[in-house]
Amino acid sequence: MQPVNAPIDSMQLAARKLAVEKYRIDGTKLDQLYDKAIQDMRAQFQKMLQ
Amino acid sequence: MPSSSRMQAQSTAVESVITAASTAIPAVTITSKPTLTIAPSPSIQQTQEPSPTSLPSPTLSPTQASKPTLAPPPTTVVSDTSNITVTDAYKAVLLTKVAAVITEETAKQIADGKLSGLKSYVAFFVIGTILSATRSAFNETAPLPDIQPVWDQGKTSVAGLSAVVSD
Repeated sequence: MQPVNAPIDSMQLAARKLAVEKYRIDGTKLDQLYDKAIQDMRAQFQKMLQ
Repeated sequence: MPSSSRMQAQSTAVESVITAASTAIPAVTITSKPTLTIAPSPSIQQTQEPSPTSLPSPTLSPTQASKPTLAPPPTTVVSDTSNITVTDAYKAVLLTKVAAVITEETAKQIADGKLSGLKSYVAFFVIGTILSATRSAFNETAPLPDIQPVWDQGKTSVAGLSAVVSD
């Protein structure tokens, strides 16, 4: 998954930098929401597969 | 008396009258010319106008107290359109990340032998649905110029992930 994750992380970092520096969005809160959304989707998927 | 002698006597009398008259009139001698003196006109007293510096400064009465002014709006105002564009870009990033995470999770479970049969079919169906939504998010969102290079890399990654899952 490394070839897929690397460009996704680069895209996320670029979007985060743009949101924080240009549009004054709270970066910490943005990271929390981003990680929480991923964890929730992963949990829902694992729950569905059980 | 002959006429010639009478005429001589008359001329003598006239000369004596003239002489007497000339001696009786006093001689007029002008000693000095009258001087014309102009009396000074009454001075016009010019009233001084108040200089600008001497004007009284206006003072604010209590009724003229300045009202509190509103603070200017912040200079970094972000339009709603820009916010929506950033949100859409983040949605595409998030969906891509979720698709990658659940694909990785599915691959691990298949490798461990925990996922087979109908469950694996359901898993790939879910992954395909998320990848479809991700592609739609990429197509519906106009990439921001600042993240254009990584945006194209993300689209390529989604296409590659879709190819792996479809196989």
